[in-house]
Amino acid sequence: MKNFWCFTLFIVVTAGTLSVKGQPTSSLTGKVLTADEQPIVNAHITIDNNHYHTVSDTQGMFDFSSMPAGTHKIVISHVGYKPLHKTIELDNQPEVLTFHLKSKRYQSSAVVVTATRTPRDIEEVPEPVTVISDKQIEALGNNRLSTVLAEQTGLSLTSNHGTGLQVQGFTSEYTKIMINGQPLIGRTAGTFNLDRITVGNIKQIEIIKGPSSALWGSDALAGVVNIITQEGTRPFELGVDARYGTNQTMDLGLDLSARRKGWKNDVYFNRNSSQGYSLSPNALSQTVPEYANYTGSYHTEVTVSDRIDTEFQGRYYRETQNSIDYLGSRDNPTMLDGEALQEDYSLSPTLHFNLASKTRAELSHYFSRYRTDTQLHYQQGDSLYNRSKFDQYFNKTELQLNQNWNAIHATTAGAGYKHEQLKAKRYAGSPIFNSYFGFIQHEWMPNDRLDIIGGLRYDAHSEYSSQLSPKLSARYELFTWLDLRASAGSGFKAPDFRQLFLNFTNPTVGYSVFGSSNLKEKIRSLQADGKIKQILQPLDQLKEIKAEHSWAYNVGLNLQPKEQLSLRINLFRNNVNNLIESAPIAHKTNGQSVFSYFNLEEVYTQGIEAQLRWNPVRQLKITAGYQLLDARRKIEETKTVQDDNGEIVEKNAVSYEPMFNRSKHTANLKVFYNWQALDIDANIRGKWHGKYGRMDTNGNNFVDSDEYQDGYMTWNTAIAKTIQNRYTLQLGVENLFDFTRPGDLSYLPGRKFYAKFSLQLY
Amino acid sequence: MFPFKKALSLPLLAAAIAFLFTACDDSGTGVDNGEEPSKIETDTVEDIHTGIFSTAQYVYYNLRENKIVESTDSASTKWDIAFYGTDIYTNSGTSGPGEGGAIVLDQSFDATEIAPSENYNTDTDTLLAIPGDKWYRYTGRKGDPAHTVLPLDNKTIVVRTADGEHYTKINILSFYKGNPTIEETPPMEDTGYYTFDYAIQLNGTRKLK
Repeated sequence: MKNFWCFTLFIVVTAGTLSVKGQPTSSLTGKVLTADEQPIVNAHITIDNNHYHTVSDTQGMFDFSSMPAGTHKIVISHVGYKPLHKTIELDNQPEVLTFHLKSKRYQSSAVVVTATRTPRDIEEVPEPVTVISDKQIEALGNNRLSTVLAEQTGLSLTSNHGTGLQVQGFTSEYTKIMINGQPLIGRTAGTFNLDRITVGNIKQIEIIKGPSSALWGSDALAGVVNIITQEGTRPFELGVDARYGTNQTMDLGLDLSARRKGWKNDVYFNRNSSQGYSLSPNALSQTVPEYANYTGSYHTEVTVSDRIDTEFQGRYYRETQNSIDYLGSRDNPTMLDGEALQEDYSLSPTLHFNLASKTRAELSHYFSRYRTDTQLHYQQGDSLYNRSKFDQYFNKTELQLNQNWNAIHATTAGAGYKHEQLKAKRYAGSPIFNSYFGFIQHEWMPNDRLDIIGGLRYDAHSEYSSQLSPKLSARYELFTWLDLRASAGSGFKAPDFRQLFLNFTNPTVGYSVFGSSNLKEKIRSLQADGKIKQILQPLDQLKEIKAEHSWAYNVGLNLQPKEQLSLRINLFRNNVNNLIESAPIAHKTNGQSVFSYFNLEEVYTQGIEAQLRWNPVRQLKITAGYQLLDARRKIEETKTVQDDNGEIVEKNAVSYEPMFNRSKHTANLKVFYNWQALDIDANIRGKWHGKYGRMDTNGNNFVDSDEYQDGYMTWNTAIAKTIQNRYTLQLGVENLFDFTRPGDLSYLPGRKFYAKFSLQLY
Repeated sequence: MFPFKKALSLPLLAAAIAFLFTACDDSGTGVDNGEEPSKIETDTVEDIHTGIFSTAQYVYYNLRENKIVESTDSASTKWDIAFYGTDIYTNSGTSGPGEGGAIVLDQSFDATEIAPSENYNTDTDTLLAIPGDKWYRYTGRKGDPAHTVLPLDNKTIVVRTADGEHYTKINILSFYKGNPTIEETPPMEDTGYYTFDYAIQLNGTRKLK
């Protein structure tokens, strides 16, 4: 830590002395107009990160008198319009430039960072990136990340200790969730609960399907979801919104941003609560219990000099949940009151340096803590029945360098250190693990039509085998209306705390589960106590646990024959091995077993994803998506059967069989209509999930023909009226036809109505 | 002896029926082709109560006579298999003085038409002839239903009786009282009741069909 700050100081001092002085000056005059050539009054024009600032007059005119010649970044913004970002070149001649601002409704092509760790135009990157913009999120009317992602092509929700995300057939634990490039921690049984994330202050959500471990390391095996938060563009901005709906679901948001010369501040606050719901009317406890949560975030950026920017990000989240549980039989229950607290917060200071005109560096630290405290009290007498706590700490220090050699070559490289610690009853001591990583990526653009990126990342870890993750991707523009993309790469997921450090012995039944890191020690101590009857595999022959590992291949094309029509198709295949499963390692004298975690399983997933967009007329936008998914697990069996004489023979059989809870076919259709004269937006969206394997009734680990559950479809709709580009009233219905399936789709409540006001006050 | 009272009635009835059958078969022999006529008895034995964990008790069963054997006879060859929680013992090796043993086949009860002649496993200190993981699965915390013992499909246990002279095939149907369907998760107190189909060849051959 000490070294980190010494180094930081060194960089600040060095870079600070590099400021360039005594350049020739120039002037800039400009005009800000709407798309139909009307002047925009009071538009804010800022140059070089607020170094220069002015507003436009009644004719939409502005001017800057003494500007240093050279390259400048200009941002023009006004409430109700999309901010315009431009890079301008000023020489010694005075210039008059005209800028057109587009109404906020207009969808421009997005700049994405997740694909390459540098801001890039989405059309240019070889990686297929899906972007969900703030406008889309607003139109959907959803308020949590889970419901926003649920409507996207190729993504499905799962429910297992929270609402998780399924990407290309992988469960939630294989997708990395980040906010502004920093990982979110706190998973239960592998699931990252997407209901924890509010979407109120999101600028865009970037999604990459397929492994991205070459850039993002562990957990990015199935994909990456990177949430980019909103930053203000005007000197002062204030927005509030309130949403109220069925189940007394209430959502309040406040968005504040203020910026002065070289200093930006963004504050966001959200409160979300609900009285919960029950899907089975006679159940003693609710399907989703009553809860209230708060999110607060703060982001600030200070420009120290031309070359140095400091940035700080902090986020706080807290949720309390009140539930009812019971012991014993349903007819004669002993009632319990449950209280669950979840809290997480993170702090992240970052320094950006422009070391030379084509060299940039970024030094960041990220600290995050996630803790839960769950208590169950007897309703009668109020004495404590059970209390469990979980407390996780995560620290990461990272340095990244970007070098644009020329128009053809660019390199990004980085290195870092991670430190994680856990405090929980089920884990021996307070396990700590450390890891180091380094990555390098090179991009080669020999011409306008070809772009090739190669990347490699190395992760070394204190508790399991180190990982090397390469990736190669390419984009080729065959015609202006046809792009081809392909990539091959590997991904991995580190063994989690449970798989490494669990120390659990069931108090009533008596079986034990130990993590791979403390297995030998635990078995030896049980042996010393005379509690082990038999060890199934000699302890010194056990292999060190490895991360779960995949190789993935994606090929796709982007077809845009007309401005109003586009089609994107992607084929994917993931081969995964070393999947970690629990298996018995010893038998105890009490007749029970000792389990631990081993690299046992292999699966593959493959499929096709297609996304169609069509604007038949300007007011109407139709999108349709489809995913074909084939996810199979390798089943290896030795069967004891008989020959013709009735004597036994052993037969080995290997087959790949379908996995549970995955629909082979999913599809969605969305229709958006904009009635410009009245400024009314309306939409209807449907999502269909084909039949899926519901439950393993015979314990063979794969879906048999009688274990399928029927497909289903859900519809959402919303209508919004906007006044003066600033005030919006939205009314909507989620799950229009009230579809529920209490047994296995607990994240799907019945029909929900809601109303939402959004006010952009400044 | 409370756990036996309920469990005994059905098997006793079954034993009585089996006895009648045996008597009939004995009087009805007469085929003289050098081969003993088939004397296959089949039955569904219901709710043998052994309990589980702290309440578990050994229940000894004689498959030849289709009846429960007193635990005082545990050191004899009067029993063929014994139940203790989810453990199933055969009268062999470390479990008893008999010549018993078992093979678990990965095929259906109906498809098992003949017993293998050799390679029978016997109970040892470390492994039973009928290992738990070959006849049931425990659904665990994440299972649906959770924490439930469910017999595996497509398994047939071929048991050699304690006298080493007869072969039986067994298909375990349930570990819960009254053989409930999978949707009805049984309460804890109804755990540890074996229900199984079995067939025994009493003529000394290996034919089971």
